[in-house]
Amino acid sequence: MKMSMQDYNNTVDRIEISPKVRQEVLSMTTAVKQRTSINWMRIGAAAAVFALVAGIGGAIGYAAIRERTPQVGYSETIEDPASVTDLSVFGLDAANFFRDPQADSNVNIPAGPNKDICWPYEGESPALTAGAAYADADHNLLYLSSTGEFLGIETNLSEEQTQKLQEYPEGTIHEYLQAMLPDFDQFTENTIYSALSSIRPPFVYKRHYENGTEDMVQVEIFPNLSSGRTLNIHVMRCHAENEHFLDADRYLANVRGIKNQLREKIQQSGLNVQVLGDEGSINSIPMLMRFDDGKIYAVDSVTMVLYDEEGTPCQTVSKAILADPTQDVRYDFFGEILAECNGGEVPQFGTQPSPFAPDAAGSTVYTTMPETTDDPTPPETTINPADIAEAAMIDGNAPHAGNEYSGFPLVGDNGEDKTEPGHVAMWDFGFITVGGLYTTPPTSAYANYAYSAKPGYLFYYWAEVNQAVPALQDVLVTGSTLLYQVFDENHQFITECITEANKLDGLEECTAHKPMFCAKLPLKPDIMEKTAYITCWLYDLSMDNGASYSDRPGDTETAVPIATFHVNAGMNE
Amino acid sequence: MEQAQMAAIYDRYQHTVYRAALAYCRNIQDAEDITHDVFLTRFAHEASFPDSEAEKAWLLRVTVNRCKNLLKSFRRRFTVPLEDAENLCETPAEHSVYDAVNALPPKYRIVIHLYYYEGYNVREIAGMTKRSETAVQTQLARARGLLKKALGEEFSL
Repeated sequence: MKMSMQDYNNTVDRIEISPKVRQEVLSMTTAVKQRTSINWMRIGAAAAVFALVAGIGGAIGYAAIRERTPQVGYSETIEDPASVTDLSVFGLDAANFFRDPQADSNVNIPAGPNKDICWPYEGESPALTAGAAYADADHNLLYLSSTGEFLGIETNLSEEQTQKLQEYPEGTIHEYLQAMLPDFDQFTENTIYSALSSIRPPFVYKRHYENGTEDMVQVEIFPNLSSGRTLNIHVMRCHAENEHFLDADRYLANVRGIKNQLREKIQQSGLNVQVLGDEGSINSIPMLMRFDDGKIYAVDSVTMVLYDEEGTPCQTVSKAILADPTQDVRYDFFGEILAECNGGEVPQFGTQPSPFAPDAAGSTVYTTMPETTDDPTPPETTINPADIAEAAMIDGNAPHAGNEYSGFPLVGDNGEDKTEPGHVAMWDFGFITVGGLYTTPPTSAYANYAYSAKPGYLFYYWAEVNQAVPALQDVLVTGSTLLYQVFDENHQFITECITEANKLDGLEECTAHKPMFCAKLPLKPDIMEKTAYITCWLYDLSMDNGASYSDRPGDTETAVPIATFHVNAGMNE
Repeated sequence: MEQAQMAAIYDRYQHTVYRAALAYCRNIQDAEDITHDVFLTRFAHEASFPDSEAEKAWLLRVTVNRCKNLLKSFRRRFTVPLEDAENLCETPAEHSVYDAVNALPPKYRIVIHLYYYEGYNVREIAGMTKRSETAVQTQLARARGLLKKALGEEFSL
């Protein structure tokens, strides 16, 4: 059978867009054309704020048009929010809200009749999936299910509301929830979930059904650039019959989400899945799952934030990994997203034991390594956690939850700078979680990371611990060491440097002029009983122009963070 | 811009925009949304274009950017399979090639689409996708390699 690209062209020639889109577009332009007195500057500014808050790139012009174009072509099946929701508790008027398809798309409203999908797994926080999204002129967002149930609100709080919230957090939140959810008294606070957050909120409430499913309410409040605080309330309603669940009535939320992500693999396996342990948690992974063939599979998760050359996060990735004990799982770790950030120049990676994980000997964890520097093949990570899973089950010890994160050199074979204009070195990181399924706490957690950059760049990193564990010395083992291992651009080990862990904010001389390094952060055992985040910033001192080594992030305008990473030492129940 | 003019622009480029969006996103709903968005952006765009090719290239550039933004959206992690579009294939060869192209990573899919379907050269694609010509060339080569690997000896470009 002869094949060519003409076959592709022939197929694409038959693709036609639905006529309804033409009708929608042109009807909206009619509405726009009739409003000749619009203050575009004001609308544009408001839309810019909206885009910033909602993280919606390219929404400015769209939002400007949408602002005064209510419900064109989108209101045929969804009830008017004013008829189902009283937002006065937030100082809002539901009558001012209009259907916002742009917001629709950003809560991942899928095609098809079943629009009340819940529990998509999103790393640390389940995402809301709504039936319809509404916005008002101030870009407060309201989400309703396709049957008109309240699903969520994202709104900026006034100073008065913020003050009240700070003085009386639970009570204020309960007041909000009782106003929005007539059956809120059926929910109980999920202390495990709430405690998992190192900084309250979020507040998490659940309602359990007899068939094993749950509804969950998650409340988050976080700083907002423009108005101080943004309040998000998301209600995740479960519908066990939803086609996006796999045996949803038997599993808890994050397990459903993970299974949802892994649906294709699970379907291909033809096996049923049993979750080991009564509950994971939003954060508590890796998780072990036993398939009905008797094999234990580990589910791990990787969360990455990729930064551009200006230190701006340009992509957050959180994916579940199903690791099959019978064969290595080759997981396309970065895939296309890396290129989106970095111009597509990604070296060829092969598979070999990782030099970045010197303590991973025997754990069959591999970091993929570049074979050449000019092939754009995305790097891959191979994880075979069979040993991890077995060890965890037999010994009751937490597995060494090692994820491997490798950077890649932007230096060519002959030392030339391959950094593209407008882009600087790629950085990738991950966080590692050791979960609550195990009886023996791990004694250390590792942040194995590596960084590649142009020779001559100086880097140091600085670590701080979140509010739950206020001091670094409370987390790291006293007298423990921070290990840097330095590799050249060919990933050959050069040297290593050990420094005291509580002096992390100094410039590590051994990293100077070295293109790559690796670090390990030993953590105190009792920290494993909590959830602790260590956030580190990696600074490019070549842009710092002489900033003090002891400068903290934010102390100097010239120090531009080019990467952060988190070590999440999981709880131990 | 007059309504008739908007309609003419839409009719002229609707499939171009939609097909590129679909090639990138592999999701009918997303592609429709992006098409919707791209044309509203176009109608709000006051600048004129020297010719239709320039206008088409501008629309494709906006389309690619919208697709990138969509795929970067924090909450958008899952895609709906492109089952309906696959029904468009009339022969096994078309099915195989279309599937193989759609199995490529988005960055490769869009480059392949713009090069082979729209007929743009590397320099033009680099401008549309905001990548260097070298990067586009590399991506093209890599995509071709993946297609050949997927489709075997029977496949020729």
